[in-house]
Amino acid sequence: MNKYTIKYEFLNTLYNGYAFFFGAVFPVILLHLISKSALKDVPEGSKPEAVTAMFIGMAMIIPLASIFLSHAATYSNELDKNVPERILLFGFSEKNILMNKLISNFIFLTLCMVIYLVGTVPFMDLEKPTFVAGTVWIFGIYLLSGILMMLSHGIATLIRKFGPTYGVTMALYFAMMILSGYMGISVSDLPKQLKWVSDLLPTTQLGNSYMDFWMGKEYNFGPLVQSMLFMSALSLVVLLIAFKVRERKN
Amino acid sequence: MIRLDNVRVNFKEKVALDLGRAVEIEAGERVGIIGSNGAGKTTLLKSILGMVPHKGNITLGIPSSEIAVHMQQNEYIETVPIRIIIEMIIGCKIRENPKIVEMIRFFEFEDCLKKRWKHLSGGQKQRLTLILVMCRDTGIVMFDEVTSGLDFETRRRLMSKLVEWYKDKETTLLITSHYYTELENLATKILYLKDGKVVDYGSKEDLFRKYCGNSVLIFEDDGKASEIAKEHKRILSGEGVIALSCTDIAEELEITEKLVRNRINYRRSDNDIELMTINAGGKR
Repeated sequence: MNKYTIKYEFLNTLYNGYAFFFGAVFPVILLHLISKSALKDVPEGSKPEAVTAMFIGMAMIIPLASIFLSHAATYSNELDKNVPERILLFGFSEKNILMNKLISNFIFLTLCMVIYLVGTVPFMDLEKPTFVAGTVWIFGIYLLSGILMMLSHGIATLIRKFGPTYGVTMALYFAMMILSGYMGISVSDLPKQLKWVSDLLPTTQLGNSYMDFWMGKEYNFGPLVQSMLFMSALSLVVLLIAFKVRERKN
Repeated sequence: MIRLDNVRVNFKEKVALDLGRAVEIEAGERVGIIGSNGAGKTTLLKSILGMVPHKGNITLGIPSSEIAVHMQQNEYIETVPIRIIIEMIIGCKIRENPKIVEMIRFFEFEDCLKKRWKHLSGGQKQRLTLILVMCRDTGIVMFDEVTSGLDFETRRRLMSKLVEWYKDKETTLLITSHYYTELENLATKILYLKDGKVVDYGSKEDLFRKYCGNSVLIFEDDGKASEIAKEHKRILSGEGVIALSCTDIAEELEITEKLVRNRINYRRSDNDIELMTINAGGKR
């Protein structure tokens, strides 16, 4: 891994205009639109807290769109054309390729986060987080992005075709969005079994009750840590299976 | 040294490769792997690289990841200029790597560096992979149908550049090709595959002597030529062509004299791979 491999991957990631729009511009526009209409009936004193909850929740779109969907689309497109196979034949390993893509995607994520913060924070009356809550939140988004990156990389490596990979990741994207309460149904209104699944998702834990910790209230880290561990294990298993299936035989 | 011991590759029910014997390639040898479509040439290279599951043993002097290889199909991303792709693979600026600078100049590739992959012509695409493959410092280099899809002139220029580049190097080369004449200047040994099996393997000269004799005289098949051919040992050759095998110089001179006296144009060869292949395979 060096600056040239990172540059190559970053420019490649940046070329995906959809990722930039849905990962950086779209959450800003959506937050402005939703906050305007949804806050009409909220008492004036509660508005900052309500808009902050939306701000935290909307931020979950960033790793999901700019990393999970974007990477699956970009990488499966490469796999469809046998580009990674060619790179491996130049002596790179699957791990090299993943690490280069991970770093470049983190740079892209940073760009998206900056756009999100610049496009929302100065224009909205947000509750300020405690230093620890803000730091953990940012760290959590990067950790979640890394986990989602492993998952999408594993799925793409296993399937190797753009169409089916995009279909699977898009279905998972909407499933995570719905189960995490970002598509109109709040987590508390979900049926019992779905609520159980929802609790296992970091997107639920990092976007809903995290508000309590943000506001400096008492917060139980157990479910957040548990969801991160669950998602990490799942993604790692998918990735390792993919590497095992596709590894060179000599 | 590379040792391929009874290597066998199956794709479901189909046997794609079944060498049925041991093939040893010494360090520094240049092996031309020949055979028609579906003979197992690419499958053999892929099994050496570990890209397809195989039975039997493959022993390489180096890890398979260190082999430099030019496959038939080589694809790159279209989202960045070629310069970025090259720098990613070599891990530094182009100007900081004298070897790659030399290769780019050698292949007259300077004007392509700002272009994207999809804007390169077929020949330019082949040259990009060649540059990247040939500048790798490794003991084994493999070329799979390196000139396929190129016009005659580009093929000729590419092959002469390959010959020139590897002239004084100790690299072990494995080259597959449909165009046998291209191998004549590059290969020292021939591995002839047919239906996934080894027809024969050995030095170019030994195989030629085994199947064609000391030398061969080749001329067009017409009335007088046929009469002359009847008096000598005729071997298999292409359609409308007579090939006479000569056991020694005396016989060669005898036939030559007859051809000259009858004003028949002829060609002489003692290393024609195509003719050797026709006779080894037993097919006209």
